[in-house]
Amino acid sequence: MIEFLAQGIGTTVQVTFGAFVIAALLGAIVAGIRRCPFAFLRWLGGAYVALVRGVPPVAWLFLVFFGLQDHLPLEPVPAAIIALGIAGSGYMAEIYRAALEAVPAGQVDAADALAMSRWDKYRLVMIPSTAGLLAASTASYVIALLKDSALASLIGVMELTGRADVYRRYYNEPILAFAVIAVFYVGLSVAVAVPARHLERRILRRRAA
Amino acid sequence: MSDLLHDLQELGPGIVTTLWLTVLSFVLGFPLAVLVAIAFQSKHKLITAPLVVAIEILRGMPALLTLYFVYYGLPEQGIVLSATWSACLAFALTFVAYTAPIIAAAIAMVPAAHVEAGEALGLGRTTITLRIVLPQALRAALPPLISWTVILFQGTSLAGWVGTSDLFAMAKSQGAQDYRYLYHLAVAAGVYAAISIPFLALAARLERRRGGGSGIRGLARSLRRAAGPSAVTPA
Repeated sequence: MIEFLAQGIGTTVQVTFGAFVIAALLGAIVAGIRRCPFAFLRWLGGAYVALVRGVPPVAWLFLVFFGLQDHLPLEPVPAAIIALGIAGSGYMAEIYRAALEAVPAGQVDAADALAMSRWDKYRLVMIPSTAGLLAASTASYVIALLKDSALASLIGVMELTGRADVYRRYYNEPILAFAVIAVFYVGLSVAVAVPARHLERRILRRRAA
Repeated sequence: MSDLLHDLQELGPGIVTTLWLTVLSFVLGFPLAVLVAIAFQSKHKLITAPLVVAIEILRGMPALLTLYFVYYGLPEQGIVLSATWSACLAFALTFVAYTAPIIAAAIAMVPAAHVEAGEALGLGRTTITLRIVLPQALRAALPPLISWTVILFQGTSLAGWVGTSDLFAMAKSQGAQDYRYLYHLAVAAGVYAAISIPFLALAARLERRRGGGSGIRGLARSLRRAAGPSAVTPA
């Protein structure tokens, strides 16, 4: 039984990681658009974030998987990765925005005073200055995403929750099956949180040095 | 256009069910979250330790799994709840797990001097908690509380999997009837967005007006402001 359930770990990690990559890239583009000089584009970026966060993740999942069936038929796993990636892009864009807003204004002014290019300003001043905060919020977002990946079971992905649901149906031992995968989820969360904490500490230490 | 209006009307009962599930879960969850947050202030490990464990477990699992635990697991223990009540209980527990620590942090940041002032006036502990501590703490915690209530509202879209006919379940079955999934799901998504976005915007505005960023630092900043002279209202 544990073996049958544990086989879902790989799929859960796959969906979580895939969705995170899409959310991180798409979110970065949106966060960039929200800082561009054109008011209309900034407004568009804000509207995108509002819309993405205003719709439940499970609705994105069904829109991508069932809604696009005639236009872009997808297997359940890629559909889940894309849908959760879209749903996550709004949150990642907010994380980038909050992290960049946390950079002390004096540092930005100093970079401008040195006539740094936009690219250098971000690369050498703003991102290093805010990396600790960015690492911490990204880690807690990945953990939230890990739990959202359970929604993929609703379109037939056999990840942890999907397998536990199948097990429940066949063997009628719901509490046991659910408890086992709950332990797996907690273990995976810890596997994200501990390295992230180390990374955050290393960033903060390097900045202090 | 009239088609859309007609379809929205069809979804009406589903929208009502979704709102009802949200209200019920909130009414169940919010007082519990406040109680847990108050209990968190206790110095006795025997009180706080079990709460910490329960909250960590609930936060460690997907909300869908909590729902399955309540709906499929509790009957194994002889507790049978209807679909609606199972869903509300599960959503309320998830809500408590995320909001109780926020409220607890807000309570902890109410200046000790305010409590001492209440004691000096000879007020009882209940009065101090209800009329000095909680009003300040809840006001400070309002933006994240609003965001979590929106997440609760959106999360009720999972209730259909244990058998309620909420907004999302209705959109799904309409899609299954005429195979226009994209259209029906988009209409439902639009309804969720139309209700969520104003509240999310309100939360963001409240947070910004207090000069708070996101996370603990923002909370601390808003708390410092809430603890200013204007917020002191002696009972």
